[in-house]
Amino acid sequence: MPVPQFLLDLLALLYALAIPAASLTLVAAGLSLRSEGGMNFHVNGKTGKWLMWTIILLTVPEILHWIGAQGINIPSNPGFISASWISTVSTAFQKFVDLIITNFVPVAAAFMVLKATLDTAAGDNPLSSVIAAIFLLAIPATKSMMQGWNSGSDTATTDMLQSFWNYIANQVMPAAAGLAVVGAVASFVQKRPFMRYIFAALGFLCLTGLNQLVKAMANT
Amino acid sequence: MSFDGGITHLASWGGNVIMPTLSGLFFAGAVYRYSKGGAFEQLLYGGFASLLCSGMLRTLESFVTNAGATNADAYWLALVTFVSYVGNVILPMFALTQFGAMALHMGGVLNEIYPGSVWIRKFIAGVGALMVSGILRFAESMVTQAHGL
Repeated sequence: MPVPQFLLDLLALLYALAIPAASLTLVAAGLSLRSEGGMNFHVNGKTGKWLMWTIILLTVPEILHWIGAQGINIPSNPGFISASWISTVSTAFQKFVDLIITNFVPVAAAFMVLKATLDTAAGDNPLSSVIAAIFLLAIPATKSMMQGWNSGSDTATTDMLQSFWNYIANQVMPAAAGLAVVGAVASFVQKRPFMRYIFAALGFLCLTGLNQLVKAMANT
Repeated sequence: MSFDGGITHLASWGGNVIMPTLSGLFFAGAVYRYSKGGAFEQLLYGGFASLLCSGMLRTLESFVTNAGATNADAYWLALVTFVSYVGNVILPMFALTQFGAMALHMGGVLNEIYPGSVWIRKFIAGVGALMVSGILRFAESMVTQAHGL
């Protein structure tokens, strides 16, 4: 029995909304990152969940292909929307996401910078807000980068998670080690504990090695 | 703009722009503390450390590179190198300062002219206050000319 055109249009709409929706989940992840501390994230917290949803949305076709490969009949992506009103919904959503990314996100990042100055005045660490601001401003580049990690295979979701971990461990954390050294000097001058920053910087620089160490511990 | 690029620029700005600028403030604070007979070493060393943020990061990176960053023993080997560095590089330098102080005490220099006496301290603090920029330039030149060990 052929699939009704209306359902095919809805399916095409869902495919069309997935990629723009990933931008929105990244915005939510950036805002959650600040509320979870900025320099850290909560295990099973909102930041992780929004990033997971971003990866899921970016790999929807591969997930559906995997489900189809298990013997469950999944209609393939129709590629276009025949009903004009549904097509209008898709276009409007895309424009809404563009509006959020180009107009709202820079303002939200600016408020994060404001928050950083207020945090400093209150005696708190301004880095929490600054890092969240950088995350928000980098959303278009982050999304493009994550799309580039899509292997196109049935395991694209986990492949993208793996690439994301590699990116954090090999690109972001070595840069964070520099921040840790600055933090160590600042703490030393203020007679606060500073050695934890040095040990943390060493950990940031060899995160992959630490992962290998834990794997070896688990496997022996 | 990428996220990792942003974090790198932030670390570079903090380590290479802000901290070297603040080192002048730390040296000035050290001179003031010294004039009052207070503990000034933290600010003095902090001034040097502020000029050395990049150098310290490169040192930590070399510890990890030596160990092999993807090696399961990377953290342990980096710590071993760190401990070895402290024991075989930092402490021998510290020993030299102790032997220098010992020689001064043995020669009776510090009995005749005690640096802790008020008039000497005020004189040194006054001279230091007049040449904080010079102290900073001197510290910068030492850091610039420093070589990796």
